[in-house]
Amino acid sequence: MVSETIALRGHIIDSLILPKVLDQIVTGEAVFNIVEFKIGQKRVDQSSAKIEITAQSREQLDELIGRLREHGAEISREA
Amino acid sequence: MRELLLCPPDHYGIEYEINPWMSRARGAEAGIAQQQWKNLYETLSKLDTKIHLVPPQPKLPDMVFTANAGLAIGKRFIPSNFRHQERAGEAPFFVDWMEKFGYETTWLPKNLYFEGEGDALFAGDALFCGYKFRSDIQSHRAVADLLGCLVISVELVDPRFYHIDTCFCPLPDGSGFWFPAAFDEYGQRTIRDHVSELIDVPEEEAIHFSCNAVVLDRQIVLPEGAPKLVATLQERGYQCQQLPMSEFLKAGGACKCLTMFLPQRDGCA
Repeated sequence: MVSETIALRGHIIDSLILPKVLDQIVTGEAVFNIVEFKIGQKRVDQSSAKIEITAQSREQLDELIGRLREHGAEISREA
Repeated sequence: MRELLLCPPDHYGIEYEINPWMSRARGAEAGIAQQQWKNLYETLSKLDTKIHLVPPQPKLPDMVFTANAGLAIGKRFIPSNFRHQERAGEAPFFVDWMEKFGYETTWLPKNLYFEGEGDALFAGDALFCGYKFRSDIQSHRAVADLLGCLVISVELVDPRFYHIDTCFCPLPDGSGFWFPAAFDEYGQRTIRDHVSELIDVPEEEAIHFSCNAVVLDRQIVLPEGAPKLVATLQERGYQCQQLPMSEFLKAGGACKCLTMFLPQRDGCA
């Protein structure tokens, strides 16, 4: 099993980017653990999340993260 | 009175292929394109607008599509970072013109693709931004940082509708019209959540770029070929001006692509 933590930031709740990313993790046969989640207080405030993803293999994980990058996910340097 | 930026089609033509509509073999008829653009110019001129013209440049045929120049909010201008090298040469000419016109330019990081008003339309207080084919979602975050407004990112999934202004048109009363299948299921849900009384445009009308419309209060200037949409808009009290746009459709553009608002909004509040 291999793991990597990704970061998402932006209006990820209003845009449904967070549920989209979580759905793609699950359909990609990986599992997630939300390690940090900050919700913007005001309508214009952005939110952020750090999500640990665990997959069966490095290849599977890299392929999944490659797809998540299209939706704004970045590798989190802080584990 | 709204101010608009247009670019005469003196150098317009199909000189490369960067979307599914473009075919160098088919080409565009220059004389007809000139007439269609002039018709758009004259139609918009009669609708309480002030039109400015940016000088067209040789070897930049798509400069005619000024909606992709960038995004003007208040007196700030965010230039496009074009995804395709074929269009990248347009940016300095648009920036030069906008700065001479009094705008303050703020560039996004060069590694973030962003194609201006073509992928960024206000509906209510939210700026709806399309991503995937041309603009990166990361550019939306940068725009939100700069403008301090709610930016709703929606994924585009049909390459024929590669900018959000080809498949979504917000209206000033809070409603709008769109071609839903151009968006992924999350994008569809997001737009439905935020925009009331959406009019679904059928595919046979959407392919005429019916959503690529210029909205000026109760007046809507759109390409011909959408009788159902026009009837619905008229029932809701809008007046529609339908224009032939065949030669610009060959490049994947129509009325809205040929027009940029100066500014689109005074601010985000």
